[in-house]
Order: sequence, then C-alpha cells, then structure tokens
Amino acid sequence: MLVFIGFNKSHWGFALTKRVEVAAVTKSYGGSAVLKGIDLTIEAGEFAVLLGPSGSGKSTLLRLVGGLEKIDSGEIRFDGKVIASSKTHTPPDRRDLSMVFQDFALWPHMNALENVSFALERYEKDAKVRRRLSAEMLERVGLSSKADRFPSNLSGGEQQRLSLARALVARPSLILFDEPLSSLDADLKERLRIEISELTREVGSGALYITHDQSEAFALADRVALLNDGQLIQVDAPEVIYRNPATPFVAHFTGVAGEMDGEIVGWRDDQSVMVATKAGTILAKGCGGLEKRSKQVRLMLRGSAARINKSTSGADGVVSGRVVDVAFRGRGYDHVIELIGGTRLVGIFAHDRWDRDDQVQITLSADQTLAFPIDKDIIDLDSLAVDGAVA
Amino acid sequence: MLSSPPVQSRKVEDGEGDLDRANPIQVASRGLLETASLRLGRPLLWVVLAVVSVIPTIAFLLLAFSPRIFAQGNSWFTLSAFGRALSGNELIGMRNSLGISTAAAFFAVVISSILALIVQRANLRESRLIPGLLWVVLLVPTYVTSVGWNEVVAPGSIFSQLGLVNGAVRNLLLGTGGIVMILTFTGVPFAYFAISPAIRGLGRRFEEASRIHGGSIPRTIRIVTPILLPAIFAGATIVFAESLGDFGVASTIAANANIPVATTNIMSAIATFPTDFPMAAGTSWLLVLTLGIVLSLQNRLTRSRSYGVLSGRTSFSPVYNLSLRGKVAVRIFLYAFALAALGVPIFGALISTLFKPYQSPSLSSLTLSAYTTLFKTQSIGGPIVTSLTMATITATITIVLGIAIAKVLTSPRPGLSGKLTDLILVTSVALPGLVLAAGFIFVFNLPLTISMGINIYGTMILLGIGYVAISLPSNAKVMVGPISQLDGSLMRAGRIHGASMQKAFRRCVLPLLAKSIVWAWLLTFASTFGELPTSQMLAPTGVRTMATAILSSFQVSNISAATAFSIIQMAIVLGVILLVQGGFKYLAPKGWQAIAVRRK
Amino acid sequence: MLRANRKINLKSRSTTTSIGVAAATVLLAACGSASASTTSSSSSSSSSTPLYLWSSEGYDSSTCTAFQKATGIVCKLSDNSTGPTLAKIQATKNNPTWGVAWTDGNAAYAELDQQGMLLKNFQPNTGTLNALGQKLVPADHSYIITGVTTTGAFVYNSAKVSNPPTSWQDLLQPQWKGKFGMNNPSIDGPSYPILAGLFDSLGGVSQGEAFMSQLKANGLYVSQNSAMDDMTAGKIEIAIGQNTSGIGRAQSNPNIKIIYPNPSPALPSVLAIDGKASAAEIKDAKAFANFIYSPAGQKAMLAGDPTGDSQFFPVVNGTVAEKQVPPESSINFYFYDPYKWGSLESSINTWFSTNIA
Repeated sequence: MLVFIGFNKSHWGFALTKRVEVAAVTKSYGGSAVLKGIDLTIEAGEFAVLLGPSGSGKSTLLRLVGGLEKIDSGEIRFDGKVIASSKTHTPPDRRDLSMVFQDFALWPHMNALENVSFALERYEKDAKVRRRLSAEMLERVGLSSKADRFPSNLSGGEQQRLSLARALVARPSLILFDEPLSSLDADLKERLRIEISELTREVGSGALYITHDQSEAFALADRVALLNDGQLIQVDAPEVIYRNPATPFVAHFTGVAGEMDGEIVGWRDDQSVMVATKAGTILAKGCGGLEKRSKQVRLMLRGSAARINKSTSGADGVVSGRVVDVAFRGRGYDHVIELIGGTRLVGIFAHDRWDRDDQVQITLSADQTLAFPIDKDIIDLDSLAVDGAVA
Repeated sequence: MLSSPPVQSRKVEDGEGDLDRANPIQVASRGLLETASLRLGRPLLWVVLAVVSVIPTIAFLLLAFSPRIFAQGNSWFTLSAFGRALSGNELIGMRNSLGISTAAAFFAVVISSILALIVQRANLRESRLIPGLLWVVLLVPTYVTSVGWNEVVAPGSIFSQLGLVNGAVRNLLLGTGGIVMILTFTGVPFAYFAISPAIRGLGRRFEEASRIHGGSIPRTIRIVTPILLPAIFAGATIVFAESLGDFGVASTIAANANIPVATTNIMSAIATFPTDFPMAAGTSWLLVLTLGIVLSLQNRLTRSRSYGVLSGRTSFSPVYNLSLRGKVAVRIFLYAFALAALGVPIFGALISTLFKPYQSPSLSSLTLSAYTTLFKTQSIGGPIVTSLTMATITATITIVLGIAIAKVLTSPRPGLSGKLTDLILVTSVALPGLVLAAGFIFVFNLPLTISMGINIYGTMILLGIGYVAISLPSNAKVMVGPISQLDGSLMRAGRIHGASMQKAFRRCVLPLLAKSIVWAWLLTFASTFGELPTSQMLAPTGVRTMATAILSSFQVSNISAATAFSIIQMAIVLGVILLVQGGFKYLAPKGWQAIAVRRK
Repeated sequence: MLRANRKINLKSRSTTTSIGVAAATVLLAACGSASASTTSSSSSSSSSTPLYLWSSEGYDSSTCTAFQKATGIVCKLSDNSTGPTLAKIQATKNNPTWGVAWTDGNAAYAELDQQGMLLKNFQPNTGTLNALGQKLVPADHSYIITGVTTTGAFVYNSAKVSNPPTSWQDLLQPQWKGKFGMNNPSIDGPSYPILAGLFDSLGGVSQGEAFMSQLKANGLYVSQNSAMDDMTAGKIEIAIGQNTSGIGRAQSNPNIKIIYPNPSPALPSVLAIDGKASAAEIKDAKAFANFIYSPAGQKAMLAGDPTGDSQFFPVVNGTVAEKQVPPESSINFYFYDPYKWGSLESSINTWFSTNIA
C-alpha cells in the first residue's frame, strides 16, 4: 500500500484514507448549543458509527465534517491538516468525501450512470474512464441493466443502491452516511446494510455513519460513538459499549430489558455489588463510576441477562415473576415478565414457550445486570463539597 | 473485485483531487469566488433591492408627509395628503380595491387548488397541459384580457347581435363581476405556483387517515386544509397584492363601468394636471399599510412552512381513477377555465382588429386595414429594436435576481431579512408601476444625487432599472414555487461529491429549474416589451419604445397604425415565446426534458 | 498554520471586494457606453446641444423632424399623453431635463408659471398673431399659443340623431335624458376646460356646479375612458368633447357631425420653454418656437395629424386652417382666465368625481 502513496487516484484501486480528527468542536443555532465540544478521532479506513437519539446533534456533526456547515469553534483535521476551524473552512467539494443521503438526493435529471459519474469528475478528467468506472460500480451494486434509467424509474431499494454507488465510485478518503436505511423496510434494510458494510470495506474508504438504531450501529461499526444532547458520551467498540456502558443513557439506548431502583447492601468484590430491590436481592456489576460510598443505584438489565427457570427459589440472583406476554419469534419466544414489586422485563428470550400467568423464576447473570449510581446521590455529594469549600 | 484501470500519470497540479497535495495558493484562489458569492451574495442582493425598489418607493411615499422634499409643495410636514386620500372618490376607490382584491384572491385560491388537485391526482391526459396553460394565462396582460372580454360582450358586438349576451350578463361582466373574474384569472397562476407544491408535499396520507377514521369528504377537506394554510395564505396574499396593483382591468372595465379603484385614483392624481403627487403617495401608503397588515396576519397564522418536496427520492404519487362522470365534470371545469381565461378574451381581442374602428361591427365594416397597414408602416423598426434589446436584457437580469430572491424567500430560516424581503416584494407588486417610476425620477433627478456623480435620469440605464424594478417582484414570486420544491440535499450532494458552488448549482439544481426559468424569463420579456408607464416616465427623450410608439400613433389618431403596432407587438412576443420554448425543447439535454415533463 | 490561514483569508476578502467593485464598474461602463452610443449616434450631426421636446400634440413628430431638417439642431422628442408629460415636468421640477413643452390647455401652464418654472417674456418673431391668438396670450409671455381648438363640442352621428341639441340648455330637455356624456375631467385632461369655460360663463363655481347637477339629473353619462368611443359604439347619442377628435372621426365616418354650442370654451395648444434651462438650450428652444411660427412650421403642424390635432384654428396670420375646420367666425369662442381657473382645477375635479361621476 505504502508504495502508492504519493500517486493519485488515477489508479482507482483503493482509497487514500485519512485520519479524521474532530477536536473541541462546537456549533449552535440561534443561541441554542447543538454541539458542546466534541472530540472524536476516526482512524484511517475505520468504519465509525455515530449513534444517538434524534436531536442529539449527530446530523449536525456529520454536516460539519462534510463541510456543509461551518463550525463555531474547535478544529476538524484530516491527517493533521486543519480543514475547518472558526477561521478556516474548506468547502465540501475540496474535502475528498462522498455521502449517502437519507433521502438519497439523486439528481432527477441525470440517469443512473450520470449520477454516479458525477462523483468522479473531480478526480478523473477522462470521460471514458469515468463512464467505465461508473458502469463497473453500477454492476457491483446490481444496477448494470439500469444505467440509463432516471431515478424516478427506479424502486426505493434501487435508488439507495444507486446512491451508494455514487458514494463509493470515487473511493474517497471518507464516506458519510446520513441514516441511509431509515426509510427502507426491514428486509431491504438488512440486505442493504450488508452491502454497505461489505462494499465500503472493499473500497477501503473510511466511513462516518449516523443512525439512531443500535442494532444497525453494532452490526456495522468498528467503533461506535454515542452522542446525546450535543456531547459524546462514550466511544468504544460495540462489544465494550454493550458490556460496559458508561452511563445509564448509553445502557438504555443500546437496549435494556428492564430497570429498577435499589439500595446497595454489600460488595462482593471490586466489581460486583449486592443490591436490595423490591424483587429481592440481586447481584450486579458496578457501572458508571459506582463508588463504595454510593447507596442508591439503578439496575439496568440487558435482555440477555435473564434466563427463565421453573420455580426453584432461593439462590442469589434469582427472582420470581409472572409471565405477562409471550411472542413467538421463530427461533423461540420472547417473554414479558412482571417481577415482584411490579418491574417488567421485556424481550426475555427462551427456546421454550412459557404461557401467560405462569409463575417463573428468573436467573439474572451478574455480568449483564448493570448497577449505576443514581445521579441524585452524586450530585448531592458534589454540591455538599462545594458548599463546604465556600464556607 | 474492482478491476484496476490502466495506470496513467495524472497531473497533480490541478488541485482538484487531494487536498494535501493541492497547491495552497490555488486552493485559496479557487475558494475565492465561492467566498465572494457567499459573503457578497446577500448584501449585494440588498443593495440591488434597495436601488430598484426600496429607495424609489420610500422616496415616493415620503411625499405624502413632506411634499417640499421634492419641491411638490410648501410644507415640510403635513398630513393633508392623507385627508384627501381618505375622502370622497379616493376612499371609495380604496374600498373597491380592497373588496375586489379580496374576492379575486379567494376565487383564485379555490380555482388553483382544484387545478393542482387535478394535475396531481386525476388520470386525465389534459392535466399535463395545465401548467403550460397557466404560464400562458400569466403571459397575457390583463389589459388584453379586459379588452377581449369587453369586445365580446359589449353592446353591438357580434355576440350581442347574435343574442348570446343579454343585458344582465353584460352588466355583470362589464362591472364588478368582470373585474373580479379577470383578476382571478391572472391570479390563478400565482396561487397555483404557491399552492401546488404544498399539495404535492402533503401527499395523500392525511386525507387517507381522515377517511379511514370516519371522516366524510367535507370533513376531510376541513381537516386537511389547515395543513395547507401556509401555502394558501401565501397564494392568497400574492393574488391580493397583484389585484391591488393591477392597472390593466382598472383602466378598462373598471374605468368604463365607473368603478374607481386605488390604482386609477393614483394614476389620475399623477397624470392629471395639477399633479398631486402627495395624494398619490397617501393612497400608496394605504396600500402599503394594507399589505403590511395582511402579511403580518399571514405570518401569525402560519408559523412554520416547509414543503420541500422535489427531493432526491422520487416518490410515486398515487393517482385516482376518475369515474366517467368525474372525468366529464373535471373536463368541463378545465375547458371552461381555459375558455374564459384565454379563449374568449383572445378571440375578442383578435376580432377587434378586424373591424373598422368607431363603427358598430357588421359585415360591411369588416376590414383588413389594420393588417395591410402593417406593411406600410415605417419608423417602427427603432422602437422594435429598442424594446427587443431592453426586454432581453431586463428579462435576463431579472431572472437572475428573481432566483436569488426566491432563494432567500424559501430559506428554511427566513429570519427578519427574509420577512422584510417578502414585505418589500409584495408591496411593490401592489403599487402601480407609475409610482415606482415617479419614485425613480424623484431620487435620480435630485440635485443631491447628481452632485454625488449619479446622473442616470434620462439614460437607458435608469429605464432598464425601472423595467427590472417592476418585473422583479412577480418574477421572484413565481420562482418561489419551483425553488421551494428543490430539496436542499441535491445541492449538498453536488458539493460533497466534489462540485464547487457554481458547478453544483449549474449541474445539480439549474436543470430542474430550467423549465420554470424559461417561462419566467418569457414573462418578464413579454411584460417589459409592452410596458407603458415606465417607458413614459423613464425613457430618455428621443427614445421610443414599443409602447410609447403605439401610444403616439394613437395620438396621431392613426388607429389602424396603432392597431397594427399592437399586432406587431403581440406577434413578436408570440414569436419569441415559440422560439425560446422551441429552442428549449430541441436544445435542452434529455434529462432536463425528462424532468420538465414529469414535473407538474 | 493558523497564521497562514488567516493571511489567506484576509487576502481573499480584499480581493473579493475588489472583484465586486470591478464587476460593478464593468457593468456600469457597459451600460454607460450603450447609452452613450445611442445619444452620440443621433447627436453627431451638427449642433452641440439638442432640443429636448416633451410633447403631446399629434403633429409633434412631424414638426420635430421638419425643425431638425430646417435648422440642423437635433430635435429629441418625448411623445406622451398630456397627463404623463405634465407629470414628468412637475416631477423633475428640481432639475428639469426638458427644453420645450407642447401640449393642449393653458391652465396647466398658468400653474407652472406660478411655480416659476417657465421662461417669461418671449414671443416668436417669425409670425404675427391673429385676433384669436391675441386673446389668449398671457401678460407675462410665459407661454406661447400655437393654435386653438374648442372643447365642449357636441359630437353625434347624424344617421341616428336628426335633431341634435344646439345649446347647453338643450341638454336639460327630457328628450336627451341619459343620451349624452362627457369624459371625467379628473382622468381626461382636455375635459377640465369644458367645466372651466362653462362655469366662468355661468358666473362662477357655485352656478356652474348647480348646472352640472341639473345635467346629472338629466342623466349625464360620465365616461372614464372615451365618450367619443361610447358615442360611436351607441352607448350614448351625444358626446361632449374636443372638436378636433370629432373632426377626425368625421373623416372616416361622414355621418359624424359636430355642433359648436354657445359658449364653446377655447382650448389652445401651448408651447413653453423651461425657465431653468441653460443659455444654449434656451437658444434652441427659441429657435423651435420661431420655427413653429414660420410658414414652414405652420405647414408641418397642419400636415402632422390630419385626423386629429392638425384640425386646429390657426393663430398666426397667413395660415389657413384645414378645410374640415369650420370658419372661425361661426364659433362662439369662450375665453377664461387660466390663472384663476387653473388653480381651481383640482378642487373642481374632486367635486366632479364625488358628485357627478
């Protein structure tokens, strides 16, 4: 690979990827801060997914990296070179990017081939080469028979494939994905997700992909960045995020079966903590900076934490409950269980069917039962300390 | 796997590909134009708007308070002009104008909503032709429509002689009814361009939701209409303003029927000696205030408005299969509209050229003298060339400015400047061209202005600015519809995929606007080519335009020459329309055509 | 790094402005040269200052051409209706750009004279005024009479009307109820002199208004457009208006006849010179007035608009009217003080619009 650096894209075999650094970037609209100091690094060729609820600022961050908007402060660097700061702004067409838009943004007056070929114009002067490369890319996404069709004559899935082809054809250093699957139906969504994952890696470009769907994020990402309310909460590999969420928000957003509050009654080791709840005493993993002095905790249970047993009471980490609902899922059944004390756990999987109103025992694996300090306690402690200092 | 293209050495120096390796100086210089257009775009637009609209209008309006500023009276400050503007004939005229314009706005909104529904929902071959029809309606001046209708229903017309028109119909059509009708027709295209994108953006989901949950058709209409309110109000406001400022119907049917309206009152205050500019300014103030109220009402009632619809994802809009009876009804509506808005008046205007003037039409008075005069007429060449040149230049400048302003107006965050622009535009629509022209004289013929080195009164430059000023508001308004349909992501997609601002606009957005641009260009061309008041007030002494040439042959009482000139004028406009539209059809790329056909 | 960036940006900004300025300059220069070429192409003949003639007379174009041919002074004509011509003169009061104004009606010029806008004390010396003309010359010679028409003539179609009214009082008879009309003076300039002359002859404003109210009671039709057209179209039988347009219509339809009632208010064609013009412009303007009074100018006036304005009563001795014009002696001309009635125009028009129209 190194051999080719210093040449340019006329080789067309690979992408010249870059390390993208977002440093202390802020952005506000009309006085309300949308991004409050974002630090994020995307390694060259990495597939990064920005996950967050709507309004978290992920679209804005994407648009800032794309150069569609100017940043207020901070810097964005490509391979160390500043391309955006409060004083400079490299226009989008000079950032060596491409993008798959949520609404596809295909130019309705250009046919499929022309749409794809457009993205090559900045690199390739020879129209014949452009045409050939575009045709190859169309073939790669399965649209070679539809090269001369206009977007309006393509189905929704075909339009999204065309949009993907346009983004990939130039093998840019970074491809931006703006919730490209959000408007597709489930089946198509899954197939296209695989194509995006496969083709992007094949081409070698880096990717910044935004979505609000955690399963999409986990499936695609080398690394997931969780964004909430204009701040990055956690940036890690999907597995780390799932197992060790930094905050209740991260846990919640990446999928929990149920939550309940409780009080610490003891520590088993540095990680495991005994928590008394209405449902009984539960062994959990301390998360989110749980300290020895913490008392009140919130338990968040991953769906995979719970296993349903016949009524065999007694042991630690086993609680009783009643089946409220059951749903057939093909490979097995998803259950909704109401624990003693009223907490409901949803999406508890079992190969066998438990009927409604069955009394069951739930074994909770401590590994996936996450105990977070309740914010109030920590805030109280902090404010006390501040008060004391002032006095 | 992707096959590897042949290795060829590509020059690095073009600075297009990789950021790192691009020559920094070239990066800076190429970014320059973009920075320039970004940084200077808005302010430049403001300067242009200030010169062509705001300053002359304000200068004219100042006269109402302070006639002495421009040496039109003795007082530096007085309110007497408002006293005059709010009494007697002036007050009646203002009342009539408000009533007529409100009615026209209402009917135009209703008709254009129906047309938009037909275009988007009905499986009717004819519906493809509606947008074109509306552009043609827009291209025919209200003056011609009025004269045409007048010719058809006047006592002694062949229709009257054939017994097709009776007294009641005549009184209705040559009175308030006819005024409202013609203003409605001219208003329909404006309302259509405002409402149609919204109806398209609405889709059918809301009405389907209503029907499914038990809403009857009338109830569904009641439920869905509020969603369309922003567009409906925008459409109604522009029709209201156009009707307030109309001079074509006012000077014909309204004048003949003795119905004073604000525009004719302003006209007579200015063009009857002793000239009363302050009172004309007072009446203008009332028009401006009325529109200010209407616009703020519109703003209050419609907080949010965003109907981006012609997006990168092309949706399939479902079409109703009309029953046979439905088809017949829709067709009757369409043909009746086309006939009343275009067919009848154009036929009337044409037959008016076939009869000897000042004689009741009969077979013996049938004459082709107007047409034979065409070939004997000399000295028309100069005015034709002048007006052709001016109309071409004006239309071209106006369309560029119009698009820029429409862009500001469709901005998702219009802000104060957007609202102000809207107010300025709508206000200039409602003020007669004469007011603006007189404003230009006051501003550009001040000793102060001239001592500043701006001495353009009596030059073709000021005439051109005057033409741009009167056509810009309508032009910008008709471009708002098409531009609001363009989803911003198409432009963004162009930028992201390596196109500069200019290139992205040219390649990714402009083609989608091409059809509308061509029509809007023609609209300005046609109105400028025959524009009278601005030519009268601002043309340099010694320069004759088409309109002043026609007028002076009327003054020489050479009616058939005047008619002949009018025919030449219409023929030239028609010729240019055919030429430009034909050129577009044969020269524009296939993709442009495709989009032009599909876009409704 | 940062500093370099800032430098580039500063540079770009200043270049940007200069580009904008340059573009504007080029644009203006282009427009300027375009307009310059149009003026230079026509003014390249002989005299340095062209004559700027703002006129609403039917024969202005032919006299303008004849004048240029005769004197070599370039004549630039702005040919508009009376209203806009006078409106432009009024609007440019601060900085007049006209040299000679030439329209029908002396009341407006009396008003302009009172605003101090006209050149006083000049009378052409190339011809002498006849008795009719002398009656209309203002004391301060601030404007020049070039011809006379009458207004308030009764124009009718003899094929339809066999026994037309011959006096203003006749119009009050029941047989004409609703069958006669005139233009609205607040829209049509030459209609005000009908009121001015009639009111003056009746003894004043209140008497005149009383008479108009009587006419209205007998169905006076007020046309906002053209009473003559309404008459030819059959809406009314008698159109009260300017005699020249009646004569013009009579040429294409011999059945059109004209009655000159007593009084027939005189409506002179008036030529005036801009009082603020430069010496050179005034010289040209005087040359034009002198040309008009000369036989050649009179000939051009008589030929310029045969179906309208050329049918005037001459005011220069030696000029013979067109044959369609009746003998001057058969007309009961009525002359009124334009200075008095000019200042009343606005209030009388308003009264008319409110109470009669």
